[in-house]
Amino acid sequence: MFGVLAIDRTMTHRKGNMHNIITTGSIDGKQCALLQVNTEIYSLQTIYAAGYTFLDRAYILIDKGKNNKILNVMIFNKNNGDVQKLGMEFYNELINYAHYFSRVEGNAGIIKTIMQRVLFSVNPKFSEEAEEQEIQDLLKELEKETPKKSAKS
Amino acid sequence: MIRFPLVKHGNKWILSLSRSIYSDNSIASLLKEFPSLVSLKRKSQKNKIELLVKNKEIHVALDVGNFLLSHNRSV
Repeated sequence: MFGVLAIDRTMTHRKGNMHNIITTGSIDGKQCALLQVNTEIYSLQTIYAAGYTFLDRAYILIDKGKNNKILNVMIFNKNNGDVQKLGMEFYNELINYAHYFSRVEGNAGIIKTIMQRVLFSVNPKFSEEAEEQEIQDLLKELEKETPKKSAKS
Repeated sequence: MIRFPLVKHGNKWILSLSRSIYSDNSIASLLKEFPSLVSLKRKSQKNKIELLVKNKEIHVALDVGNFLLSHNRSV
């Protein structure tokens, strides 16, 4: 069951293949901005994160668009301010979190190494176990190398 | 025409939510937290869930959406 959003027609004009990505309208007299977000560019995790930052000053509703690639994000200003500006800020926040998550993914290996170092420094037992493991690995490598060298000589 | 997931129904609001966006866990938490305010209406489609918000104010219904989003994020 769906309601119909009263659309502000001035905001939905089209030029060639381009169209406004933010549509404004109202429901029950409350102004809102409707944003269309492509999930091939921004993950659901990114959309949640961006929406979360707006919870103190806006009401956010997320719904599936006409096709599975598009999500409709509806933003209502809690203080009856400019909803279009809020929509633009939401898009900026999407960029911000998309960048953050891509960096986290890219730096996952380094982060893991740093965290291991931190944990080792807190508990020397971990460090000792890791050192012991490293020594065992080196010994195994040496054992593998030794017969080859003796065979050559 | 834009499909809108919030519909006024007398003195109540019906919130139609996509289950792939709002998790069952967050909806269950909402129903547990506000049993007198929100009730599960019925499943209209396989991937949708409908909530009945028993308050005439739109901001109360929208607050329900915010609650679900914050719960989704925190899980």
